[in-house]
Amino acid sequence: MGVSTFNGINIALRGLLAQQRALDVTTHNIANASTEGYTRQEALLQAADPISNVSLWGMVFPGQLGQGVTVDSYRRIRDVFNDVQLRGAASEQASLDVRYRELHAISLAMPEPSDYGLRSQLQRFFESWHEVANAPESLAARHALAQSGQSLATTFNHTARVLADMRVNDDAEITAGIGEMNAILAGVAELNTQIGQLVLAGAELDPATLQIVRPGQAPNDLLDRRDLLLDKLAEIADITSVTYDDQNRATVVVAGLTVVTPAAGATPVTRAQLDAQFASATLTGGQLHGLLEAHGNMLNEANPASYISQLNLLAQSLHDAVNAQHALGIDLSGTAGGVFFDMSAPAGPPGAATRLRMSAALLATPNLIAAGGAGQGPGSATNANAMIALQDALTTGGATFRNYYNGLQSGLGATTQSTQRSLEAQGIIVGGLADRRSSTSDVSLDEEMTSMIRFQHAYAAASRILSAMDENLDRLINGTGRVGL
Amino acid sequence: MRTTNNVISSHVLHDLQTVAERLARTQRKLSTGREIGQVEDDPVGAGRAMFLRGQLEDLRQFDRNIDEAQGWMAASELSMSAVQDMMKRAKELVVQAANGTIDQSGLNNIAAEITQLIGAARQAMNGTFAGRYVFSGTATLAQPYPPPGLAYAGDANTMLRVVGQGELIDVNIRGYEAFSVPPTAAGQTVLELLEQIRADLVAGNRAAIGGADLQGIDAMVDGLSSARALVGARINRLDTQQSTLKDLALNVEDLLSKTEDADMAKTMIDYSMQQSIYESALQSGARVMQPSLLDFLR
Repeated sequence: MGVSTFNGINIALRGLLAQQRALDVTTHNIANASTEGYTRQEALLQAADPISNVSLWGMVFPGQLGQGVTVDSYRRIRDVFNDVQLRGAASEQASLDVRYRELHAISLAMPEPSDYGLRSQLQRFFESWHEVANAPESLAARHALAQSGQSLATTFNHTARVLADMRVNDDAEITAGIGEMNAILAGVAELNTQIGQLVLAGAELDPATLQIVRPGQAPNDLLDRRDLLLDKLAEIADITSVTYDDQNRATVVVAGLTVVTPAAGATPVTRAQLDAQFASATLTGGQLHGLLEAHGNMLNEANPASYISQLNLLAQSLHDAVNAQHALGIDLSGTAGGVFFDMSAPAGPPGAATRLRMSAALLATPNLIAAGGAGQGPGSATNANAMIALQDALTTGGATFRNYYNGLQSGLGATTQSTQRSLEAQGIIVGGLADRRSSTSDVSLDEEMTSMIRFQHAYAAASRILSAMDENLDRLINGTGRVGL
Repeated sequence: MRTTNNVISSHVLHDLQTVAERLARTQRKLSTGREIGQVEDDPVGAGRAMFLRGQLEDLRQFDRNIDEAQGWMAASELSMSAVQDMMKRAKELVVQAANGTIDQSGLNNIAAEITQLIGAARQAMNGTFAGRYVFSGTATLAQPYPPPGLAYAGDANTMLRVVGQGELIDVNIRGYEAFSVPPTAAGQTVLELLEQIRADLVAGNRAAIGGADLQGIDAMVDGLSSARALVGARINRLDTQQSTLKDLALNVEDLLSKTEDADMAKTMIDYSMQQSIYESALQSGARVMQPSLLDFLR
């Protein structure tokens, strides 16, 4: 028994088909060169099963005869370990990014150094008291003081309102972030199902455990899509772990919460869950972490260390100290001083900085400003001088008004600066990891061009062989037995 | 490392952004002239700048307060020197009257001049600064010596001005401190003394004129001199204080400028260097992104 005359045609055909598939993969790569999350693929070519031609009569043949080439599989070139690292780093970066944005916005709400900021207003306020002390009888100086008090209070109000608005906005962003996260989780669960089915289709199972030994189809593009979703998820909240079962279905744990399982699909995350995870420091990264940090710490009036609380403390101390001193003095007509700063609205949120007002009575009738000392004449500036001394008194958390405010600004500035530096450093880390991923998984056009030429040549050569065989057969069929014709 | 088109383009983009951001920051320094645009640029420097600026503004305010206090004291001084001159004139008249050669009609003429002096002294003693009576204590809106009375009508309160951090200075001379002997609210006022002299003149009481009245005038002049010396000393102290404050303000300004202001020469050099870096980054970026194997395949 010999090998079929047409065997070679078959081998050439396999060659043609395999090169075509390889070229298809190249085309697919080029087409997706700029697709987000795409991982380059390659056709793994393998020599086809050879013919072992064992004869009945025990004739010995030279050995197995190669049968050309087949495509074993389409491989997705990706480094899973790098993914884990990159996602962790991206979570941290996203959180820092939000935190820096928030801190920067807080600094912009309290712009310093500036001639119009709170520091300046405080300074102007006390300078106005100086002017009243210089001429306590002067209505002009008193009007100027009332206006300074008014603009100081307004600056407090405005700053507090901007900070409150930021917090409301953060709340909305958190809700939106949770919505986006839950949509991603649903997407991951959906892809899990599809991937599982494809891996199972035509898979080889261990008869005892029914576990997949050799997977069926490789759903490369679906895997890309799922990885892209996980990348996006990492930017929203930190991924604790992603594990895969034998059907390559993912179990996703986000911030300590198991949110996607192959069996149960996606479990939507609620705001209450997220708050709890943030409080227990289990949520450590992602935009949501940054937003909750801003919402719960930086801008939260209930948190005494927050910037708004510090502002409230300053406003409250100013109110208390100035009003107490004002009550000790007498106005131009000799009556004891009334309320200077008005904060008659009930206590509690919104805080002092929001509620601080200049007394309407003093604004309308600046003669009521109590600049004089009790029992003294209209030229007395005793109480105004005492008011000026408040500027250097340790009124606010063991500091003077302006030193407290300077401290608040320096603290804010230092935090903003260090956050920005961490963000820059994190950017370099993420950049490096992203480069490593790109280097492994991105499409290189030069490389694809090279592959294209390789496959093109192989295809052309296989065609040429086919032609040669065609010629041979032509000679054999049409030329045999026609000697002399 | 395997380098792909995406890596190259994202690197080019990232580098361009970094350089452009740096360029923008330097440009902002150039256009504002400030090293610190925001606290986060340099929290420590900004904290110091805020402190220094507060200090500088305080110093300027103290300077204004001193100007104001100087004006007040100059007005007091002017009135007191006028009254002292009048007292000298009164002494001349009294000495003249004590001299036995003048008859009663002559004494009456002197008494008439003393009456004029009483009016003039009252006007000087009711002296004002910017519409406020300087000798009234804190009752600055009322005359300290309202006619027709001769006694002090102001209060006994002092008027303190802030001329340095926690530094208060007494700016007012209460009327009786300058115009009464002894210098208390109960002492005899200039007006009372002159009125007494006038009465003695009209009564022809030469013994009193040459005795108690003359001594009274001398005591009054002494009192005025010491009050003027006191004001003079205060004015001197304020002058010294003011020049100290000005020196201090200059120092603080210098320090503030060092903390806050951009070094223009250095910033300019930085700027042109960053600009050339930016341009070369653009150029090399444009070159490295363009070609691929495609350009060389037929």
